[in-house]
Amino acid sequence: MFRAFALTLLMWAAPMAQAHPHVFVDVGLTFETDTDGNITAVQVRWTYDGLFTLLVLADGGYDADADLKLTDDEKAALLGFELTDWPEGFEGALFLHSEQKKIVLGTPEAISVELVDGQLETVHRRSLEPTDAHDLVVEPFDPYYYAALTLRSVNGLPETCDTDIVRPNQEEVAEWVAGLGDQSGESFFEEFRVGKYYTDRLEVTCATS
Amino acid sequence: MRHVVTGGAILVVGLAVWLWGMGGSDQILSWATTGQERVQNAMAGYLQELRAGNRAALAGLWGLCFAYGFFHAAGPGHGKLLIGGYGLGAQVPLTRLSLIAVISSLAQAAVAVALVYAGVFMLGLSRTAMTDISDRWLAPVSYAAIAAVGIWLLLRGLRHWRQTRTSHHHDNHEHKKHHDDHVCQTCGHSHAPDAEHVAQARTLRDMLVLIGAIAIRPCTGALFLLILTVQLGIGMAGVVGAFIMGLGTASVTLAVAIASVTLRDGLLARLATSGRIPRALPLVEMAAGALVAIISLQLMMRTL
Repeated sequence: MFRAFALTLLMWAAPMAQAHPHVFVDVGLTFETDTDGNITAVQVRWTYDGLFTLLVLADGGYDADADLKLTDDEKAALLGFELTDWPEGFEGALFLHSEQKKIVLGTPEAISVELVDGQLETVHRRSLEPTDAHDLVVEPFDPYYYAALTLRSVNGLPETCDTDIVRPNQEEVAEWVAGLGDQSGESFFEEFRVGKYYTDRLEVTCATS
Repeated sequence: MRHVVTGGAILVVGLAVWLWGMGGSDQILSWATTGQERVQNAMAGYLQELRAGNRAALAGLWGLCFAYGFFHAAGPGHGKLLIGGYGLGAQVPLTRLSLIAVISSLAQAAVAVALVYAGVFMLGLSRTAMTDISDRWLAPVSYAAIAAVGIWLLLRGLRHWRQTRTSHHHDNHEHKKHHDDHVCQTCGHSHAPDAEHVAQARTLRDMLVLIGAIAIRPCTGALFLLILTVQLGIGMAGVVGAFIMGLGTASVTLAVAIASVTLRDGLLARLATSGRIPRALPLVEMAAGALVAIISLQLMMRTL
């Protein structure tokens, strides 16, 4: 009898679909350097998952003919749609550290928006004080883990630099995060800001010239 | 009666297999392992194809809806708590509880459809506003209603318990009182022919209360699908999808219904040999009612 009862209880408590993340984003980074080889800006490409793309299109009434192509007017209207109205404390889901010191990034500047194979692809640019690429650490993540970001490509670094992308074991992290508390409400994500545990990490090492 | 249940179960399982074969399961199963990104992209792909006029994508979308309903029903809400608690505590036949399980899931889908079509067309509400209404208002209301039913079960159990206690001392008098209640304490069936009408009315009232408490809160997934399909101009695909989602949910609540009634019957069979049924039954009813009330109140607090 107890076994059956435990079974019934289990069904009530069985893990539901995760509350977070809701959006999946592929990230591409292209660094800009000055003549001395210092980094002066980074271009960030965000490629959104198909469902989020469809939501954006549906909410704005874009691509009414469903051919998965945006007109120039639509592109102009969409440009920078995700860069305005950042919530208080949101830093653009991009964190740079040089020699373990946090680098301040400038206000985002929208560059382009495209629809590629049914996925929205946007590019924006963040400037920074000229910074030596050596010992640079870059982590693209949303602290609240509303969006899950994956670092897909890195370009534009000086040729003397090597890059290494360290990816966490997602399952292990998820298991560890599950131990922190009940994830079914929004407050969990506000309190624990678990995004940082899931992040990919780009490590740059450069040969001194 | 058993045949009806078996038939119903076979129908649902058959439907599950059929929808499963359409590919929904692969994507949903990968949800647990490789993440929901693939599911989201698959959903978007089907919707996109439908929007472009490819009706063949309907099967894929609906298969995904069924699987979504099934897996989503494993989470809180969707009436498992109430169905399970009622099945354990009240003297409800399996057929009726199964019927309640299926109807409440479909009613939940109907509420979602009604809410979206009223909200979008009459009030011009946005997707976020609609989801807000569901999560901030309807969810706590539904949990409160379920908690109320739990308390009602608890009180009814308490009353039955008092009756059995007094029946020890005044056997004859109490027997009459049992018949006033129209339900035989040991078997859960109504015996008095003249009282059958009243009993049926009570049964109907119980059913409506249960279904109502569950259906008040539409599933967020259904709302999401409905609004998106309205916006994309493929509303009917979404309406049918919402009801198929409800069937997916129903297959889980149906399992809970069967589990709880089987559990109760097993318990009764064990007690029958010891002859303690009249006193044990109300205790089970009270415990189940208390459990339903406590859990749903906790869930309600979380949504406030």
